[in-house]
Amino acid sequence: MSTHRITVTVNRTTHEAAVSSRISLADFLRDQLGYTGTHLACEHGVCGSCTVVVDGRAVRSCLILAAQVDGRMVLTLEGLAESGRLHPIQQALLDHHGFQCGFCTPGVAMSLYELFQRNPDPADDEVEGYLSGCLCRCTGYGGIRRSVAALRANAAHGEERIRGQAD
Amino acid sequence: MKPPPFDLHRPESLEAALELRDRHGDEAKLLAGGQSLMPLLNMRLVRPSYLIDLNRVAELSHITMQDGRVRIGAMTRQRVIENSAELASHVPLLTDATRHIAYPQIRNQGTIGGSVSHADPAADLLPVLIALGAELTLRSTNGGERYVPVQDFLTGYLGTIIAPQEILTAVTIPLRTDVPYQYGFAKYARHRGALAIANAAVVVRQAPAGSYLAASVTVGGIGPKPATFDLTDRFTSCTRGDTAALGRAARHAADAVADQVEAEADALVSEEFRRQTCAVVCEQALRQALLGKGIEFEGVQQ
Repeated sequence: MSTHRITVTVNRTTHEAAVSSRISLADFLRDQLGYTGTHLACEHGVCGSCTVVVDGRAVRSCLILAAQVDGRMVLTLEGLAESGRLHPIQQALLDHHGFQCGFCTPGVAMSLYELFQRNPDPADDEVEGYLSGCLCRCTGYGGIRRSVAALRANAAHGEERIRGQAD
Repeated sequence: MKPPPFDLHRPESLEAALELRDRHGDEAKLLAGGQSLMPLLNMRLVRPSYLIDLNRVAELSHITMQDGRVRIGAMTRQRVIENSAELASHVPLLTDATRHIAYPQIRNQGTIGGSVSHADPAADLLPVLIALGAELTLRSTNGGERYVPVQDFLTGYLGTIIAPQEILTAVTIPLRTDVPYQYGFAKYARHRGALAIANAAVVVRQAPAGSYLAASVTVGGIGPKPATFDLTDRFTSCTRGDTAALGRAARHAADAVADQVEAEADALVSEEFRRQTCAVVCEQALRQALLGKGIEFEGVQQ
């Protein structure tokens, strides 16, 4: 089993680490760096709980190896809030009961992060595409959808622009 | 659920990747986007000694129009394909169907070459690439190259003819240049983004006089590999714009296809359910192509 030296920026902090070839990005984030905000459930790409943003794109961290993020920028749930202020996505989920049990929330938040980075006022179909990739076992997407509606309204009024790193 | 131990190689050129492929042969698996291989590894359904990661091989990621064909590098992400304005104008069937693959979060990482190589009979890209007459480029060391139509590449469930020393480097699609073509794609799955229980890709070629020169459907998700049916006879006597007659012909053609397919039962659905679903998606794809309710394509000037 090979070991790989990687340099990766996670939530604006650069880390150097030695990782075993078979360690997923999810396990690396949780076990080696302590970013336990990334949740692991199905571990085969179906549920979306472990979704993080790598170089501006929402991806499953259970399906990427830690060795593959060498030289790349990773954003996890912990990186959304800045200066003690919740990110608009977190605030919207909080305001509209989008958290529910909280297990799928990290994946929902990071998926919405990519979605709103690309388009502050996404079409319904686009929203559904991203949310289909997040399995909520509370089976109540109502709160999540209301959170999305609030984010779109914000964008339409130019009040709370979605902030974040560029692609 | 963690992968078994393996050594990871991360080559930065195709040449280096081919050299590793040659050295490790059957003991190595190629890692493309990982959206199918990583689950298999996590579930320990495959246990390669080596993984050769192609994600650093920049030369495998490109979309090139040349000589009436579009060549798509095997490592081109599905997300790049669906968002390519160039592909949308030349091969709308491909961009439209790509949006049906799983979720954006999967397509961000998944590649066209990985999907074809994985050879899941329910993959959305397979019937589409077969319907478009796509050809694969398989490279081996010493510059050896062979070109294989997609339907000949597939041998059955998760099976292909690729040799242990080869790498799939590109998918080449001929651009239709002479007469207008119309396309349709339909899929049925248990929920949005799930693997297809049945899918269908239709290519219809218009005749100058207001009828049709050719029509075919390629269905996927039914048996171990997609199957193509020539439906030309059913539409040559139809007049374009005659929606009632075209709708009827589409229905009858779809039923005939469903009667001929070798449908398989699985944990989700019975053989009969799959056969009927095949009829439904065939009819939807045909109606899309014939009645202009879907994507339409006017041909390309060379």
